[in-house]
Amino acid sequence: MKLLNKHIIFLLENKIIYVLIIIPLILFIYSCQEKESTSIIDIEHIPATIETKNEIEAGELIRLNINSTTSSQLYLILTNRLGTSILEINNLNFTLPIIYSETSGVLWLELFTHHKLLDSKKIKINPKEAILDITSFIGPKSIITTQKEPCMLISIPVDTFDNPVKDKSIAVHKMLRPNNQLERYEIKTEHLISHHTFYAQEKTGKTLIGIRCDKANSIEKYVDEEPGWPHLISLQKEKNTLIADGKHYSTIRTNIIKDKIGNIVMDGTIVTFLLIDQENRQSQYSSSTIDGIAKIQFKHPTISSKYEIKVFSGNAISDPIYLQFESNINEFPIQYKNNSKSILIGPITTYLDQFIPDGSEIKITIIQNNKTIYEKINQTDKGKFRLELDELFISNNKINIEVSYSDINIRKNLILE
Amino acid sequence: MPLKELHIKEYSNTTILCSILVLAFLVHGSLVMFSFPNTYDNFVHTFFADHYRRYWFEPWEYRWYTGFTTTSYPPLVHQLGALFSFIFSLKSSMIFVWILVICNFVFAIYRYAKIWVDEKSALAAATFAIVSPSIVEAVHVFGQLPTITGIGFLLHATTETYKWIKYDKKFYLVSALSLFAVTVAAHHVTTIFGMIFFVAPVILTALMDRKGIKKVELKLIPVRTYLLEIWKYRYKLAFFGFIFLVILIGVMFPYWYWSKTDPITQVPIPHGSRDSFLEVKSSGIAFFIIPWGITLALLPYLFKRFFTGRNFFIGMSFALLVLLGTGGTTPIPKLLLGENAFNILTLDRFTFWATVMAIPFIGQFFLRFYKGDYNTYLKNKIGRTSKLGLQFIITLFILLQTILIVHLNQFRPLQPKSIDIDPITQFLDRDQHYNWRFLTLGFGDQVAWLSANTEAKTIDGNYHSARRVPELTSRAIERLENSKFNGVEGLGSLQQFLTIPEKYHLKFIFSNDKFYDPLLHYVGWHRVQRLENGIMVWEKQDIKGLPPRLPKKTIPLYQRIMWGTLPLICLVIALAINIYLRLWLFRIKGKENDPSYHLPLDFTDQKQKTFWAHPILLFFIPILMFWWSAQDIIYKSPQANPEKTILSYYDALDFKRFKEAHSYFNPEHELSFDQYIMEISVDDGLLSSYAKLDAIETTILAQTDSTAEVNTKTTWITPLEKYKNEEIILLEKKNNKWFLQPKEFDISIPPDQFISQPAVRYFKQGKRRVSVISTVTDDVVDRPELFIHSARLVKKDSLISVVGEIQNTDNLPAHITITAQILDSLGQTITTYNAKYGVQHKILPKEKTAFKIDFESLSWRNENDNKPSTLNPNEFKGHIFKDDNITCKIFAKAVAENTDIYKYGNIDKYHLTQKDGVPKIEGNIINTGVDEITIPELIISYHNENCQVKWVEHQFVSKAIRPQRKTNFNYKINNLEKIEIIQKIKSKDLYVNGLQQDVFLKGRNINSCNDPYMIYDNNKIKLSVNSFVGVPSLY
Repeated sequence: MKLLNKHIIFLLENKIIYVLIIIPLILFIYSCQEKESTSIIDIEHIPATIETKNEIEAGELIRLNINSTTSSQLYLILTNRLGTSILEINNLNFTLPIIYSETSGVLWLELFTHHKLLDSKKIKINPKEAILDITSFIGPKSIITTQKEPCMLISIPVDTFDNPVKDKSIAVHKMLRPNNQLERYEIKTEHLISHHTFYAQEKTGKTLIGIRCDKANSIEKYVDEEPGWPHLISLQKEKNTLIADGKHYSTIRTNIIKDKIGNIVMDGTIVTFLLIDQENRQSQYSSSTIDGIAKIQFKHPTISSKYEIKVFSGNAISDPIYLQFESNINEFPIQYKNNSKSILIGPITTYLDQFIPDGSEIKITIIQNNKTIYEKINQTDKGKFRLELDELFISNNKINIEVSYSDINIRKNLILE
Repeated sequence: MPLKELHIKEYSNTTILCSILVLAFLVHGSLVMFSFPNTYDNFVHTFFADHYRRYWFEPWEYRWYTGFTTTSYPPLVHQLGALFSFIFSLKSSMIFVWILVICNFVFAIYRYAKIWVDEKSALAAATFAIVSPSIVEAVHVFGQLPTITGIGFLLHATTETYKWIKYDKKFYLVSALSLFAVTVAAHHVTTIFGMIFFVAPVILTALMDRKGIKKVELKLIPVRTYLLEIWKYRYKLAFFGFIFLVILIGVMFPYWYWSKTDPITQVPIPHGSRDSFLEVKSSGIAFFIIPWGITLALLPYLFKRFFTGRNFFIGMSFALLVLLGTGGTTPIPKLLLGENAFNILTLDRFTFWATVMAIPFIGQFFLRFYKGDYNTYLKNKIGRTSKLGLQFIITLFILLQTILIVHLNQFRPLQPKSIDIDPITQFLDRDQHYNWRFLTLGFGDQVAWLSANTEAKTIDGNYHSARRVPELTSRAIERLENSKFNGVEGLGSLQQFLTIPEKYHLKFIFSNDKFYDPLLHYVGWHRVQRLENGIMVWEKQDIKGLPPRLPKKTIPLYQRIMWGTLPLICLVIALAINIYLRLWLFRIKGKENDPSYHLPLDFTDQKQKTFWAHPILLFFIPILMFWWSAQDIIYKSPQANPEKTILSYYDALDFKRFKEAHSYFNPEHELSFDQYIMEISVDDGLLSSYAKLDAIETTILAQTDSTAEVNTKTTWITPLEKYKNEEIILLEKKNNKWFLQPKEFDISIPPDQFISQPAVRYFKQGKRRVSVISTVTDDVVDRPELFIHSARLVKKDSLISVVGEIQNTDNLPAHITITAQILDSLGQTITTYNAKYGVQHKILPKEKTAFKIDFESLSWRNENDNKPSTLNPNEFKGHIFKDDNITCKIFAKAVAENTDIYKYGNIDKYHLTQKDGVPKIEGNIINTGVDEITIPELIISYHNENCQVKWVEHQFVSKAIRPQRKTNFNYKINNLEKIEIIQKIKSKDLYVNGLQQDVFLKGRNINSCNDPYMIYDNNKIKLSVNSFVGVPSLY
């Protein structure tokens, strides 16, 4: 116990302990305290009035004259379209700060003392003539010519204090249309704004717009007048016969695609080409237009075939055109040499006596005892393919081999050693 | 002075202790500087420190998980870091705290060791504490700052408690309690478990020591005397326990308040320490082999010492800790802790405490080994030179082990490479990008460091105990940013966040891992720019910014003040008592004596018979451990039969060990490694670049003595879907080994060497005047107009989808977002979801795309569902609708798009085939553009005779397509009989850019049936290609 007493004495002697304990304690007590409530004071009726002008122009100073005999503190509540503020009145004749006379519309003055309304007054503040930049809006920012789409232009002319000008002020909307026509509209402001709707005309391009009201101007506005949907589409005729080499690409392109009234469709419009061969195999290529023309490159087939080509864009479809592909593969050998463990197919050559393209796919089928034991598509290298017999599971030495490539189909019976 | 007299005994123990502390300071001080950014947790603690630096008295943190409270973690070290950060930089101040904490820990070990061993051994123990593998791992691999702080103060407190019981001086009680308060403030878990595992046995030992014979303290006292002694102490102990509880609850009151009042329940996150260490080797290495390290060889010695005489109680505690530390290897820890606690606790901390508990005895062992009786024994047995050699080798093992652990992340990277975060913070600061949430991918724990350096908020976070977003709390995922490591739940959760990013105002993604690129592309994100540090910024268009005021949970003022002041006050009081008061009491006032409580130097406990075992164990166990850890690398898989060869080959391929993969090819085929690696390098696509092998199944089709034909079915995990592949592999036998026949590569060559291509390219100016004010109306591009041709609510296999077709009727390319909202019969929203894969997100003017919206349920699984064992991003929990009378509204919106539009994937020669009675569409996809299509996707829509959409499907094609090349595809036509139409969605329920479609169309009819269809069985089928370009030539 004696030791504990010593501890306590030591603690009391050290000031740092006070700090460590007392600060949190103070903070804790502070946080627990309730807020002080205010009491309501009863006030006797005090007559008081405000004298001032009823109507002014924005920016004109407002002088106030308050008639009152009371000694209690008076407050003036000012309300305009921007909000409410309270002034403490120390002097009965005074001028309102300029900011209150800058905002057009109605300024409400209410004289209070404590919780009692003594008098109220309204001052109408009229805007001045338009002088600043005209705020303007336009939408949509692009309109389609074929659909005679509407577009609305809105302008808000304001005076030097940023107040919208008086109703029935005249705003002049000037427009230079893509067909070089200059249009001028005089629009009266109504409900603070002036607005008018105009429609797309037939030519594509930019409509440039300027606005003026009294001494005020707007920045340049513009609307893009854009072409509509692809209307009539057709394909350009190509040479009629092509070689079915399964390697090269050919280009087909559309004629210039236009909308209903003859404007070239927008760059980037998607166009889909559908190619159907004689065996009803479809190929589908897409491209987007540049200056109204879309083109694709498509791969040649390996087999002689007549292609029907159609093209789709938007909701339009073209008449088909036809392309003939001719294959011209020479007969090729299938060789098996004694003692070698492989069958050599080829060399396969084509119309210029060159090898067929590397990677051309030949289909090899091996039949033994009326049973298919091998069926695979293989790629040729320099026109040839070597079939390794090790990889096959052949039970006897008589096989029937069939190789097909392009229009050629060769069958051969082989006897293996 | 003759050299012989300069013996270690000449130095006072204080001098030696000071040298040890200086050593600890130097070693760990310099190492922490280096290992700091590579650890798991350091950045998280830095982030918390940054929080206190910014808002000391406001625990609410907005930056992670839509906000969480920092009262969810003990604040002492974070507040210390924050305090020092007013002087140093944030990182330096954390490193400074680390150095102080480590020195304190080493000092604490010295004091704690004196309870169990003599003073010289305690000094040896303190020296060993510097290189103890578990400490090195906790500091330099895991970065567990609060744990080390906690254990340091706990050991001090334990020592003081021991002295209080033994010498009955109240000063020690005050001192112990003040230290407990600091421990609580540093790490509450350490305090609670420390009370059970450290303090309780020490109290029992101290009570024994009181009655024990003073001189030879290793003998036990009679049980009866002992029990009486405990009975005598019951009030004191109860008082001690009561005050301890008051401190535990009082100091951390806001924490307990949070954990009791927070209504959010979290799904526990799997942790490697709960694995069976024999099955999951990596966990075994990280949570058992490394923390024990070389001391594993000393376990027999330790158990012998722990169960000798008065050490019995601490021995029990030690044995229990060792057992619990083995995790899921045996079922015992689960039985002891119970299912619930087992799944919440990380069990590696038990191993950590066990190793800390053992340090005094290990120190004693090494003293004996280098200086004491072992030394003499070895000298007599094997001679002086051999003995010195052995001692040298063991020392080398210990030092090498320390270096190995510190550099662990060099051998096996645990974290992505260090990322320079400055460009990211600059990006976030620029043009008010902090107004949206961001997400990082592949950053590892550096996400915390990024957050610490910016005010911008992420939806993710790095402190999973405080997760608040339902998509995260309902799944066992730690973070979104490394979701590829979290299996089905990780990627599934990430996919949900990415598909409906507007829910959390998520607009920017910083990607450091290209694995996620296909996913981001196909859910409708696009690349913005690559920052200087190589991080790709992805953006989702048309996301609203964060509201100016975000929701927050208010924490009462008294709690905020408690939280902000108490931890540091506790620390100051503890320091005042333990330094100032102790000096005043024992030195200045000088009446009392601070008794030396350590044991006398006495090695007589162990018989020399077993001495031979320890050096042998010490020599062989480390070698054995190293061999066990590295045996996968040393042994190559065999090629004894065809299946094993295929498995080994795929394994090599999966881990990108191409040299090894090449070695499985038949050398007779003359495929050189150079050619092979060349062919591999141009082989891109979903399977080659974005997939992980999940399962492999082989069936031998034919086999002879020397050849075999094997059908191999592989399943791959990709960021998009689970992908199945099937191929037939031929093998040959050479020299009793099976070899693969090399795969045939495409040898076709494109016809043209140089290709030109005209294209329309777009650019969006954005703000035309450089200014910080928000975009002026003139700079806002109108939303492209869309038209929904048809839409239906359909049901397949009890899951509901919305399918339809939409067209861009504008002249601008559009990025579209299609949202479907399901309402019940009362008009209440049941769910909303966006179109994910089954749509082209970017469409050109007049382009049509089919779309399909599936409704994913928020929670992946019910509580009683089992955790899926493998990763399957395609696995999907559909929303189950209870109400039959549902209606649907569709909201499509678009913004003008200018990037990542690639429309050159075309379909060549597709046709219907029938194979085994299954109708299929076969064909090729040709790339006619000038960029490589990394992952092509086919969107297949089924239409009725009026061209209205009946069903939509998508299929990813596994191979990349280089320009002027093709890849074939094979699509199985779906049987539409299973699809039930619930309703055709009326045109009044279709909204485009916020307006009813009927309203803005004003009677214009743009319906059309002119599209390239393929007719099959009264259905019209339309195909279109969606392309993901992994590396656009622009970037």
